Amino acid sequence: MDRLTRRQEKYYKKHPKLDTMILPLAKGVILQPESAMQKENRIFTLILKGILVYLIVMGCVGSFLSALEVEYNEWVVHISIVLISVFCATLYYHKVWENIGYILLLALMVFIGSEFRNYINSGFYALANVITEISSDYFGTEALRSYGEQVGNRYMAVTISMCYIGGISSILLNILISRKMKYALSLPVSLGVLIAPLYLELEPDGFYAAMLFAGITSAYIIRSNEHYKLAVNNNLYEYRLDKRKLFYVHAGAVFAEMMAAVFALCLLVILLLSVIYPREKFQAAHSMSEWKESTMDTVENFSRLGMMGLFNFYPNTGGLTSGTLGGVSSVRLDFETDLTVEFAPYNEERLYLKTFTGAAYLPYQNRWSGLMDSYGQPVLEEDITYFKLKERYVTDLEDSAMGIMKITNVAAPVGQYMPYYSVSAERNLYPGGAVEYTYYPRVCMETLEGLEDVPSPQWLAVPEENLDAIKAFCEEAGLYPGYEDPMEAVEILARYYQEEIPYTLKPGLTPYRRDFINYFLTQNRKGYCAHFASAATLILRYLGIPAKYVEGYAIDAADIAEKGTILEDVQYTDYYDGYSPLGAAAVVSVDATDANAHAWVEVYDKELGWQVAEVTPYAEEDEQRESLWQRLMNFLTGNQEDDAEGEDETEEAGGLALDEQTRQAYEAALGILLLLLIAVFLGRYLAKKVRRLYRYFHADRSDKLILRYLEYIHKISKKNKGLTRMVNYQEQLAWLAAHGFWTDDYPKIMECIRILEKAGFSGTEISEEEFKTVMRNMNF
Amino acid sequence: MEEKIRFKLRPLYVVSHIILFIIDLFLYVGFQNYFFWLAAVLMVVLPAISAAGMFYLCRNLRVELGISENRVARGEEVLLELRLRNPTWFISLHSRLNLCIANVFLENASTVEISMPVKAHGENVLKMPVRIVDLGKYTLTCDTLFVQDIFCMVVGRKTISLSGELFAVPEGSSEEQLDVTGFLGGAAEVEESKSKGSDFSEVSDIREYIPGDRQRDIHWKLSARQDELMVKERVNVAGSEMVILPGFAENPEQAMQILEYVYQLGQNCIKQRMPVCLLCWNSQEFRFEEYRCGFREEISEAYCEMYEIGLTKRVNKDWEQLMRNCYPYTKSYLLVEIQEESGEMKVEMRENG
Repeated sequence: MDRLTRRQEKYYKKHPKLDTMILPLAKGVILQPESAMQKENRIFTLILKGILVYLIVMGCVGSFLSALEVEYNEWVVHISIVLISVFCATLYYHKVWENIGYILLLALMVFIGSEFRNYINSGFYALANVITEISSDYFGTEALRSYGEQVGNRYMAVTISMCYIGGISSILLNILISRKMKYALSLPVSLGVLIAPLYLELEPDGFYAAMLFAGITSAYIIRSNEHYKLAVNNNLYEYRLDKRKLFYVHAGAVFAEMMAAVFALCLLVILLLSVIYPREKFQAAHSMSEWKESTMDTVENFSRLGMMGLFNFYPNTGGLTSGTLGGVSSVRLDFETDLTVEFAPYNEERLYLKTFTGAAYLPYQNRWSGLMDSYGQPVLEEDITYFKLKERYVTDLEDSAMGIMKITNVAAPVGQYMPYYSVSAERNLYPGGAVEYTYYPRVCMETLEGLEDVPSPQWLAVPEENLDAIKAFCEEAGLYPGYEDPMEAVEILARYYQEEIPYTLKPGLTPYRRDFINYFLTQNRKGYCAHFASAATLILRYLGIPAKYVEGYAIDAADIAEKGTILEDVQYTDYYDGYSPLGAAAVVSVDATDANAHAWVEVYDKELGWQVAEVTPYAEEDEQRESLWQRLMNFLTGNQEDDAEGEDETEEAGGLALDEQTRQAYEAALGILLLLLIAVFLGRYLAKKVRRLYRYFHADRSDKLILRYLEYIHKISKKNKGLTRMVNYQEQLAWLAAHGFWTDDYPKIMECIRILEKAGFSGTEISEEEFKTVMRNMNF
Repeated sequence: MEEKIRFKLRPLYVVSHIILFIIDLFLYVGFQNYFFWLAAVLMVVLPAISAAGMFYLCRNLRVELGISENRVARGEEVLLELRLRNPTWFISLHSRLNLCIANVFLENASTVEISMPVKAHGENVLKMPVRIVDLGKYTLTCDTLFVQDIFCMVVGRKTISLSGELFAVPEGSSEEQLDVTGFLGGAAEVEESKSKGSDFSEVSDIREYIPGDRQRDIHWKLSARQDELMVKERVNVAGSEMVILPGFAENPEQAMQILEYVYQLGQNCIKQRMPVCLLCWNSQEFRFEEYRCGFREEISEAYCEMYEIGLTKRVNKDWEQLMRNCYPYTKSYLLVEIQEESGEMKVEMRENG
């Protein structure tokens, strides 16, 4: 058997001071100084810890992305995360390198974050958009929140973004794992990341799931076995003199074997299960749990509104919402095609397609009740104007016409999309379906005979709850009942809106238990089309003008001119017959996106019938770019804003549009979080103190002395790093005496050393006098 | 020794694992998700494999203890090696054994808890370079090996038989040469004045055999005639043998000082071509053990034998009386002891009787 290896002997000669260290293994048997013991391969150990971090982070990132089925460059993300994880882990090789390395890493991450911020933001938004789209499909809702991706190449944006986020996660996790193997935090974090896809019944890829399971399980195993701390001198074994324990600190090879075995087992089990009981079979056999059913509404609100969705319980959230109001903090547009309209333009006015008509406003419920058929399905009313115009066309009067409008539902909600002066189709239009409407356009503003004076009292109904607010507003706007021409009142109102009430896509939520219109008119005083149209409808009714709230799509003539496509292969006459102010133009096809979604008012003119009254003001301010943080805050608080550039009416001012109550709720939540954090830290600190006191008061005199002594050393070494290098009582007391922290003379110091050694190692209790001898020098 | 294996659950880890499992089950029931189902299956399968592996590992794991040298000089280094041989593919991150290190001569013992990892299909070696500072015979024993599964939920306890011996003899220093001429001269005078005749092989008497008598002193012819063993009583001749009696006290430090001194003395006597006879009291058998040494190595061997009996069995107050009773014909001996009052070494050539 070999004696000491040459390396050990060399080390031993190089560090003669260590020769004085006495580590009695047994009575009469002294373990040679630690320097002579076996050394661990520190780099190997650190690399293993880096791989452990990589397994957890990549497992989490990969599971998340694979569940969402987002395309990205997997190799690049794998390589970047493994490199950052291993680099971070190897920082612990040396204290100096750790400090320098972290500074370098921080600088690098700041640089990358700054240089690639557009990619990182876009990748982040892309994922948010994907989740939104999936949740929208899952919950079957139309309202869509989307974030503007500044980079068109989503594949690259997601890759870079995930590299960055994965890198940051690796750095943070490494701090927890490498030193203290605190894996516990990775459990809720991983779960938090995966909770959205898992709730939406999206399953991660088996390989990444295996990585995540293996990483967390390995960390759990290492932590449980308590062999994870980094030894001071890279020793493979450490000797605890007080407990007579010689324990191994690290065993890189065994750790590697364990991690490989756990990963292999996880992968094997998952593969086996996917063969024996595949995911599809599982999903077919499992239905939605009661708990999930009960939380669907809340989660749906949360998915749309962010944190405030948990406080405001609106059943619907906006967009084409069939008259439901107040639940949308801000509108975000995806600019994807909802409808395709083929028709022959006949004038330069805006083309309106109605989908919902609000009859009665229900205050505090914040919604318009629509017209229902006998089955309770919303319908569009038959307009007498249609019949009058049709009659004109049929009787072959001049200035009359008939048109055909073909509407294809690309991705719009199910419903009717009816042009003016037509009748509703027999069935609703589903996505992918198409329908043809026959309409009789009003090509001249001649008086129509036989119209009623007042069509129906319901178009004049104003709820009592809104009367005060409307009355006050009318006085403020200079509107009084008695207008002969309804359009005169509409013009005054529209002007007042334009001047006094700004248009915004981020009006903020209507606070819970507040009325939408009252809140808009009296407090919030900003909004988008639904706000203006709803309030205008009641205002006009208050002024004695029959009015309807209408939702649908509005396509400007400019849109048609710019974006419309002339259909060469169809005959104009197939689409239009009769007088056209534009002449026999062409048949065009134009796409309507959600930017064309709109709400407006119809007012009744005794001579002209139902007329469109446009009161929504135009936006005046340019969009402002917001930081990632602001966007994140918006996401959390449910404030969404428009990122799109160059779009039409949707442009408006940025900023956080939190109303007072929302702000208070948000501040309260932050306050609670802050208090909780303080409570946790304070609790931990106090618990530590209490535990120390408990130990102190239950210890015998020897242990008390050692505890006080260690406390004293700890206190001094905080400001004097030189003391930390002193490893035994002799060295420590010599240092303390040399630096004026120990006032005894040499013989008394030797006596103190003897007492401390007796207290520490002998197992016998020291006397009161001995206790005082040492304590006399410790000035707390 | 028959290898017995017992297993014990570690409740803390079992309970914490069950809590994690229940949390996962809750998530599974709530989400009805394949992911949580996989997690639940893994949380059962992995610990089960780990526990089963530990059973198998525990049965097959072998421990060996190696000591680089059996006999070392006091203060020298010796390398202890604990070797865990694992023929299986299962691993353990925490195996533990309590190594008992006892000094038979100084009658003390300490136990050290040693933890080691168990590598798959290989061996782990723990090298412990130690320095022996006390004289005596060290026995290193271990009768139990604990093996923990990687999830820390089950601990296997296996009975093993691990032992090793190590003798620490005084350092044979060439620097501190003891001048033994005076002792040799004194011994010769005493012997010569009291001996009968001058023949080295002169027989002074014939008596019955007493246990402990040397074989070479048996008078075989006479024994054959009388049907009982008869022994020739010889006269020790001046200069033929130095009888040294270490007068141990109960204090281990003093005992070691005496041993050191006697060792030096013996070595120097042998160097001067004077054989040495070490007499060491054994109170268990109520007799002196005799160790005759003609070579230096024989002193070390004598020490190794001497260490077999604990110090407390080698102590007596009245050496003179004992010598007179046990060795009535020995004319002189050298008593090495430490004075109680002053604590100083006292070396005295004494006449017997």
